[in-house]
Amino acid sequence: MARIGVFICWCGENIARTVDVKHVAQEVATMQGVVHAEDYRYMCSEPGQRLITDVIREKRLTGLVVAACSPQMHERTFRKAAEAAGLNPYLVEMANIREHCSWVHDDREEATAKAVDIVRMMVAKVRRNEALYPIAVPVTKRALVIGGGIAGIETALSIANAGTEVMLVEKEPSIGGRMAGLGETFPTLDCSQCIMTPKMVEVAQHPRITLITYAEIEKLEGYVGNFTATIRLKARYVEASKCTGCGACFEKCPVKKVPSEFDQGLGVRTAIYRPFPQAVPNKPVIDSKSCLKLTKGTCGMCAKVCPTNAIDYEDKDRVVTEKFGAVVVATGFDVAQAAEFGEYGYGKYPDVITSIQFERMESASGPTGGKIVRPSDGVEPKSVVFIQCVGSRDEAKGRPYCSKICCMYTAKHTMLYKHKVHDGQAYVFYIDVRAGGKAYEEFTRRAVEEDGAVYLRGRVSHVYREGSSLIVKGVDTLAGEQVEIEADLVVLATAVTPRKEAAALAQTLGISHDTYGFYSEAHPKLRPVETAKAGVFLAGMCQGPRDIPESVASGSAAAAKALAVLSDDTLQREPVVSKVIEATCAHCRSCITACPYQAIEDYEIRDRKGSLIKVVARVNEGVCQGCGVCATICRSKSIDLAGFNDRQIYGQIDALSKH
Amino acid sequence: MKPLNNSTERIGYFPGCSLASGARDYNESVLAVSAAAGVALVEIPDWNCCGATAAHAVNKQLSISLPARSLAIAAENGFTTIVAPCAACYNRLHGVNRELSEDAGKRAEIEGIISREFKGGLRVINALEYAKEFLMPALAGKIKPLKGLRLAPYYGCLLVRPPEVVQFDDPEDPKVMDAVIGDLGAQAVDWEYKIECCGGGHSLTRTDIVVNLSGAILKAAREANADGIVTACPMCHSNLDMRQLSVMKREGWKTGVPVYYLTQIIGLAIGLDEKALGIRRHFIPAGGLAAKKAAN
Amino acid sequence: MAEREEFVPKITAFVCNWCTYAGADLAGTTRLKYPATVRVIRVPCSGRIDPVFILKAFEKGADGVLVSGCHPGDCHYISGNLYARRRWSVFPKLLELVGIEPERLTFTWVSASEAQKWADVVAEVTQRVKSVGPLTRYNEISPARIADGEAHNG
Repeated sequence: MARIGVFICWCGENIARTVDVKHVAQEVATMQGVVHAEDYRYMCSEPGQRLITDVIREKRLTGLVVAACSPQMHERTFRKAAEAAGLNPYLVEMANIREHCSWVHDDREEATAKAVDIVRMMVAKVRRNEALYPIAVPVTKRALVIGGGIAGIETALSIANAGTEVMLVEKEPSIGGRMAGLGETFPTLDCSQCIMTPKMVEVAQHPRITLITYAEIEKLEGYVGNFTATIRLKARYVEASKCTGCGACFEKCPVKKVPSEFDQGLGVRTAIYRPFPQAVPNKPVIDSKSCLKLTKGTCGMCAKVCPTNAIDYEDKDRVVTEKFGAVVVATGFDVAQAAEFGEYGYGKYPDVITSIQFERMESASGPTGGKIVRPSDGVEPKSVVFIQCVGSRDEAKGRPYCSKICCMYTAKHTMLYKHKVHDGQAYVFYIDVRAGGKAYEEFTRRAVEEDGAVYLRGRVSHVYREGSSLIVKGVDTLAGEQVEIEADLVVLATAVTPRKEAAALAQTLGISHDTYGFYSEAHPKLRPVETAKAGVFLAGMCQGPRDIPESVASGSAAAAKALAVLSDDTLQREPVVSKVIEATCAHCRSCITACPYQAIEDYEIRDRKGSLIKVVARVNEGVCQGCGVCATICRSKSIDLAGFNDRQIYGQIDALSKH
Repeated sequence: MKPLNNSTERIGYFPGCSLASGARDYNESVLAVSAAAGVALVEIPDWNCCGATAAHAVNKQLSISLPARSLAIAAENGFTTIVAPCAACYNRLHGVNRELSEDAGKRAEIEGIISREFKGGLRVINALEYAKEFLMPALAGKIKPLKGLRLAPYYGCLLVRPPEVVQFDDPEDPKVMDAVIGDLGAQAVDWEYKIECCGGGHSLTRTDIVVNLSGAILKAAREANADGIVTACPMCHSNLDMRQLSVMKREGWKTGVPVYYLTQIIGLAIGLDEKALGIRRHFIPAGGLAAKKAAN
Repeated sequence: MAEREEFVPKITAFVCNWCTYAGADLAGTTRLKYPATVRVIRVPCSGRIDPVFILKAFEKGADGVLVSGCHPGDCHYISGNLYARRRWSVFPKLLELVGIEPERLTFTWVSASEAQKWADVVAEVTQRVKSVGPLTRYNEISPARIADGEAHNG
C-alpha cells in the first residue's frame, strides 16, 4: 500500500503568487496513494526539511513528492533529507511547479490547474518508484598516465603528490615531449630545459611514480576503477640497471648520420643514442634499424667500450599487463607537413624551414649550438621572413582552426633572432596577432617596439629563389600593396595537428576524437578534461592547440579528476542504470550495439555442468550512464532503465488522462 | 583529317576561337604533328565558343551553357576524348564536363537551356596530356633529340588551376611539360616562373599589366639562359610573344626570347618544316632553333 | 446563441533532462511567458522516448504531443538523440496512416540555453494543435480501451 507524502512549497512568493498552493494541497490529498498533503513557505529551508523528515517517520511514508522548484535545483537536497529520515532517496521525486509553471504563466486558474496536473503526474510516478541502492564498483588505486610531455609530467606529479600510485608510460626513450626541445618559452623567455628538467627528474625519483619509457599501450580493457592495460616495452638493447649513462657507447658509434628526430631533421645522431643530453632516464637505446650489429651483424663497438657490460644485442620487446583505476591521456601533438604547401617551396629550397626547426636551431643545445644559420650555406641570415598560419585557419587544406601558439612563438622567434643577429631584420606575415594570455600582448609588442620586427598583415602567395636569396611575394593589406621581400631564411609556422597515431590510439582506448583528430572532451565548457568514457581523462595538446600554462593546468585538472575516481576502495555510482530481464532476452544485441558507452556485454548463462543454456545481454553497472537508449530499442522489452522505467513513464502519462 | 594508320580512336578536336583565328600557328602545329603521329584528330562539328573569360565574368549560366553545348554535340557524335589545346577552352570544357557529370540538378537545368541531352562519358584533355598520351608514344621512333637546347616550360594559370577543377599535375610545381621536353632530348630549365600569371585577358584593356607580368616571366627566362619558352596556351603565347616587343623596349633588350608552342617543339624534334608549324608567324623571330641546338 | 468555449488543447511533452528540460527551466528563470497547455514528462535522453509513449499519450486524451531533445551532435549521452531522430523520421508517417493529423505531433531540438525557443515552441505547438481541434477520433475508435484505462487509473 502506497503511503505518499506531498509537500507543496510556496517558495515565498515565487510559487504562491501565481499558484493557489492551498487548492493544490486539497486536490492532492484526494489522489490515490497520498496519505499526507501539506503546503509550506520554504520547503528547502531547515524547518521545511524537518517537516518532511518528521512526516516521513510519523506516517511511515513509502514515497515523497516535493512540489516546488526544478529537480535540477533541489532534488539532491530532498533526497538527502529523506535518506536521513530512513526513506530510500530514489523514492523521492520533485514536481516542478515553479520554473515550469508559476514563473511562466500569469493566469492563476490555469497555473493552478497545471500545477495540480504536474503533481498528479509525479505522485503517479512515485507510486511506481523502486528503492535503488548505489552501485559499488571496486577500484584499483593506481593511475595510468599515457605520455610524458609537460602535461603528462604535471599529471603524474599531481597524482603522486596526493599519495596515489602512478605509472607514466612514454613512447620515446626519454620523457620531456615537445617542451624539452624548445629553446626559450614565451612570455618569460625562460629556458625550457631549465624549468623542465627538475620536473623530469622529480618524476624519475618519485617513490610513487613508476616511469616506463620507450613503451606503448597496445590494449586498454575494463572500465572505470578496473582498467587493464597491455603495454609493449620496446627492446632497448641496453640494460637500464647496468647502464650508468657515461656516454662511451654513442661517442664511439660509427653510424653517425641518422637524422635526429629530436632536432627535427636539422641535426644527426648515432645509432645508439640518447635523444638529448638531459634525457630522463639518461640511458641510451639502440635504434635497431640503423644499428650495424642488429642489421648486418657487424660492428659491436658499443658493447666493446661499455664499462659495465650493459649492451644486450639479444634484447626483445616485452609485453606486460598492468591494472589501473583511472587513465589520463596526454599524448601531445604533431605539426602539419610543410611540404603540403608547394607555394612556400619547403623541401625544394633548403632555406625554407619550419618554426619547430627554427626552435631547435635557436636552442643552445641544438644542432648549430644556438647559432641562426642558413641550412644551405651556413651563413648567418640578415633577413628572415616568418610566415604565420601555414595550414591553420585554412579551409582549403582542411584545417579551419587556429593553432593558438604560433603568433606567440613567432614573436618570440623574431626577438631571439634579433638578440643573436643584431643587424638582422625580421618580417612577419600575419592574419591576426593572437596574444590573449597573461603578459602575452605586452610580449608581442616588444617584438615590434624593442626588436624592430616588421609585421605585415597579409598572406604570402609564393616563395621562390633568385640567385642565392629567396623572394617572398606577399601582400600588405593595411598599406594596400603587394610586397616582395628578399629573404635569406624563411620560417613557416605550420599548423598544430594531432599525432599521426592519434586516431589509432583513440580506438585502442575507446575514446572519441573530433573531425581533425583531436581527442573529444565530455563537455567543451564544463567537463574539459573528462572524456565520455568514465575513468579516462585528457590533458594537454592531444585535446587541441594550447600553450604550456594551459597544458600544465589541464594536467592538474585531469589529476584531480583521476584522484576523485581513486579516492576510495570502491566507487559509488548513481543506480540509474539499465538492467536486463534475462528470462526474456533473445540476445538480438540491439542494445549492445546501441549503447553509446559499450556498457552492455554478451553474457553466457551456463548450467552447473558448464553447458551453455543461452547467451543474453548484461549491463555493466560500472559503465552504464543511464540514458535508456537500450530500453527503447529492445523489441521484447527485456531491458529497462531504473528510475525512468516503462511503468513509471506510463504512470505519468496515465495521470494526465482526461477520461 | 585522314588518319595515316589504323588508329581506332577518333579524338575530338576543339580548336576554340583562338586557334581558329589569332593562334593559327598553334592550330597548324597541332594538325601537323597529329598527322605525323597518325592520330585521328577530328574537329567537333558545329562547336561553339567555350565562353572563357567573357562569359564567366558576366553570366554564370551562360558560361556553363556554352561549353555544355559543344560537349553535348561531341558526345552525340560518338567522341569519348576531346582535346582542347587552348588552356582557357580546356579549363572551361573540363570544368563544366565534371560539374554536369556530378550534379544532376545542374545538368537538368542546362539541358533545358541548350535543348540537348548531356550524355556525359567524355574526357577532356589539354595539349600537355595530348602530347604525353597520344603524340609522344606514336612518335617515339621518329624523334631526333634536341640535345643541348635549354627550354623553359611555361604552364601559366589555367592548365593547373583551380586544382580541384582540373585535377591535373601539381598546381605549385607541375612537371608534365618538363617531362615531355625531356623526352624530346632537350633540357627543361628549372626556373621559378612556371606558373606565374602572364596577365591573361588584360592584353587589350590593361596592356601595362601584361607588360609588367609577362616582362617578369621573360626576364626570368633570360636569366635562366633559356633558348626559348614553351607554352600550351594561345593567350600566354600572345602575351609573351606579341607583347615582348613592348617589354624589350622598356628593358632595352636587343634580342628577344622566342616563345614556342609545345606542339611546335615536338614538330621540330621530328624534323617538320618550320613554316608548316607556323613558326614564321611569331612576332619574336623564332626560326633556326635547330641551329641554336647545334651551337650549344 | 451560446458562445462556444474556446478550445484549450492538452499537450503532453516528452523532453530530455540535459537540454530541453534545462532550457525550459531557463525560460522559467527568465520569466518568459507561454501558454499553460503543456505537461512535461522528463526522461534522461530523447533516445529513451519510445514511440509507444506517444501513442499512449494520445490514447489518454492528449490533443497534441511534443517531443524535444538535444541538438544532434550535442547529446549528453553522445548519440541517444540520433536514435531519436531516426525514429522521428518514420513515426509521423505511421501516425498519419492511423488518422492522427500531422499537426498534432512535433519534434524539436531545444538546448539548455534556448529558453526563448522553448517558449516559442510551446506557443507554436499550442496554436497548431488548436487549429486541428480536439482529438476525438482516437477515442471514437476504441471506447473499450478507454474504459479499461479508467479502471487501471483507479
